[in-house]
Amino acid sequence: MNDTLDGVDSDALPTVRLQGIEKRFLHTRALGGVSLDLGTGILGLLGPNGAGKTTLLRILATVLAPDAGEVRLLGRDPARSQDRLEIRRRLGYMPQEPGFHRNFTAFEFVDYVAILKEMTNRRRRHREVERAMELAGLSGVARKKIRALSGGMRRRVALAQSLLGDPDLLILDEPTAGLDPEQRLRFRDMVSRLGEDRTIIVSTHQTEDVAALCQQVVVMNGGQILLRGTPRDVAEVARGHVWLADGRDPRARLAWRTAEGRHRNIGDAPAGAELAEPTIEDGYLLLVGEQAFSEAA
Amino acid sequence: MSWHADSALMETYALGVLDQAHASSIEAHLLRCERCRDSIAHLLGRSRLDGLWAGIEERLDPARPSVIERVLALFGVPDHVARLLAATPSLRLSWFAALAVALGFAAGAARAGRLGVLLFLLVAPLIPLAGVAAAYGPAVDPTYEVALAAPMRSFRLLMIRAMAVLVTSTALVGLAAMAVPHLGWMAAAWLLPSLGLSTANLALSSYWSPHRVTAGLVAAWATAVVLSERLSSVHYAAFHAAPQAVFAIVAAVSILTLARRREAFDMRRRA
Repeated sequence: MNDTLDGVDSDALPTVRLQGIEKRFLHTRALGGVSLDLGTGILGLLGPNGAGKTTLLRILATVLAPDAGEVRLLGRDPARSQDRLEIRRRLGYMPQEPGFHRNFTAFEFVDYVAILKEMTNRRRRHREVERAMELAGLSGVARKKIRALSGGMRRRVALAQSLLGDPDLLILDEPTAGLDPEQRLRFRDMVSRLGEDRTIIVSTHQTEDVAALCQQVVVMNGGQILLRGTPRDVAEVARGHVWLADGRDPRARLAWRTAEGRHRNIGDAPAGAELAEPTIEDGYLLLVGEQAFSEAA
Repeated sequence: MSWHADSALMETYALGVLDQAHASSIEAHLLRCERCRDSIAHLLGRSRLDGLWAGIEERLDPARPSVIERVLALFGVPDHVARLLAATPSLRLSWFAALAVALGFAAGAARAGRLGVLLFLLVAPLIPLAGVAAAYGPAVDPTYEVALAAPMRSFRLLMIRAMAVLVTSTALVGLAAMAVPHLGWMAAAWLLPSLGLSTANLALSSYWSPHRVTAGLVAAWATAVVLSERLSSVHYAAFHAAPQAVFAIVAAVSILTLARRREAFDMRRRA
């Protein structure tokens, strides 16, 4: 019985199956026994810097091999050369820091990646590049040099290359970093449509993106999965730990003044406090503890 | 004109999501009706207009490939291979400019006497070596990670780029060698060391990080040339028959090692 993203038990083979994945870099443990099964849908990966998200995504993108554990992607073993090739043919990957050949135009860059994705027929390749660029909202900047594009536009170019070939498994590492609010809304619209018939894994620091987009969330810290559930499950972690007060409560681990003028306090709520409905952000902050509090402060 | 296009249809058309049959009908009507043309102008958003103009511009005046791609096309290189090569750091115009300056100094020094010739022979094999080292890898290619996750084998990409760099840099060093008078057989004495060092660099990069391998090979080569010159009773000792045979063997072993280790280029070894 497999645990699929939408919470429905299925006998179908999961798109992603990880069992006891470990990875070390010199003396640092990046991943310590991560296990995860994923089917169709959108999974949000939340965690502070150094939680192991990028290492996990690199393993899922077949870019990095684990030291121990079993990986199955699209039913295949990426440790085997032929399987790895088949996985890569059905994979889209946007790294955390996508680099560019800055002399290329946006079109030339996406075209370059299309060639790496074995699209050698020029006419068919150019049609596919145009489709991916349109999907990423880049039709108007196809001829602009990448060095002349804004940070947000460059991320959309990186997103466009990951959409080439209509991949079954899409891995996006911090796709909304640097996007303005309108671009983020367009991104959510596009990803939610794509997620209807494939597996999408989105690593992000933006809890509101996860709440709006993802059917499932994995919260990571210290190379381990702390919680796997729905965005609602993450929020529930903070139930009874968020309260409103007229001022900053000295007992709160974190507090801020809301638009209504009152203070939202997070921590161990005092007796009789006016409890507030928790959000996914509250739950995330409580789950990952001190590191997230210091990052948020 | 007694009728006008339905406003709901016009709005759908302006959004670009109207079906083909209705869109053709609206377009035919717009050609004849000034009032509807005025109203559609207000419905089209700025970004959609910009996108349409960019599309028209692209069709009328398609972007020209880069100089490198156009030169490669002249030699019959397919467009997709030319694009892979255009992304090679050591096939850029700035790289060739730096290379021309370095070769100019080395060839100039070679005219000054025996030590100048030795300097030229020391530098000549390092130019293809540096070019191959800068062709592909995590430290030099900004799209390295995207390329790794793509189905094209990294080894194949590396070979395509390395071969192109070897051919172009060897040709340029060869031209510089011919420009130095009275070199005789010495004009070709750098060829086998160059091949040996470049292939060894590729083979050893399957075990260790490419920039460390390159630095080690440059240091080892410079030390070997200087020491052999100081310790041997003959001039240009590092370029005589026995060392040449050693470099031929190094090249052969490196090529065999590369073929056996090609899978090592397919994944990252570090974070």
